[in-house]
Amino acid sequence: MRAASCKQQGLTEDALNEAIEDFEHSSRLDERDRAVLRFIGLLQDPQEIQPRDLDALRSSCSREEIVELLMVIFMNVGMHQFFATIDFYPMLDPDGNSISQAQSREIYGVKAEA
Amino acid sequence: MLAAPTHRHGRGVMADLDVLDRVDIVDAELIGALDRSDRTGLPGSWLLRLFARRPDSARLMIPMLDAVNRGGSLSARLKELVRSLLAGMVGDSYYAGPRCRVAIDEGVTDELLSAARSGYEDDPRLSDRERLALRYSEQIFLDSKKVDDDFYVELKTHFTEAEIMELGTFASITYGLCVITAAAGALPEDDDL
Repeated sequence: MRAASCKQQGLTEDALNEAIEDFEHSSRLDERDRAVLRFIGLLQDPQEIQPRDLDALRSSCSREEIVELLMVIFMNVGMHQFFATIDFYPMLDPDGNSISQAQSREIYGVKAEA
Repeated sequence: MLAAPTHRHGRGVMADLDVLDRVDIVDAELIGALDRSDRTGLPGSWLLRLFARRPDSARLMIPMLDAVNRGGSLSARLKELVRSLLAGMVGDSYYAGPRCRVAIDEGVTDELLSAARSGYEDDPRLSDRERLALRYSEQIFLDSKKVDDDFYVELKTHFTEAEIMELGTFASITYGLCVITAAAGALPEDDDL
């Protein structure tokens, strides 16, 4: 987990892991969370997204929130794959302290490879 | 082989509902970005009018989009080739064809971009440097594990380290843009509406 504001709002590593692994059945997430995660899953093949898929998202999010979600997606969907090729790791530890790339690799690299 | 994308939604699943009309945009930075987009072809009026729904966030992204599209040292032609390849990978019509005015003025055509999307390894119109850049951009998103140390050694025979970082960043941002424009079903002609 990266964002300090998320920690302050109570998001935990366990909830994040559930969101990634089994969000449809997680009791930690609400229907709005699931609608967003379902939509993100569809982006594996974006050209197949249909109007009904966006209608489903609209039932949980406003137009403005959908645009904000698209901004988050475009900033992240490609960048992390590029970072993976250059062994670039987060510059903060889980507690928000500044760390070196070597330290970060020990924390996040092992986890990523596990 | 990546065919030229032809979208299945006509004008797009979100084009009508979620994009602001130009007359409704009053923010000076967004208006400036729209004017620059009209002159240069990038990042596109439709995209900016979509982002205008969230003007605070859009204002943060406009300098980044300007920098990756028009800044740096890589040529407009190379960026246009990479942009078209990435659009083809995700079935995006919005960024698949000729878009950058500078690249078009330098001779980039629809046929050349079609070659970038569907057969760049064998096309004699492309240089070794361009083919390598396309292979790099493609592999980051097809299978990033194949972009290993040996791949970066090969890249350094044609690019400086600064150019490699510029190319990787450009490809990352552009891939993200192509994903959301493909998801929204945007078409190039939506820029004119």
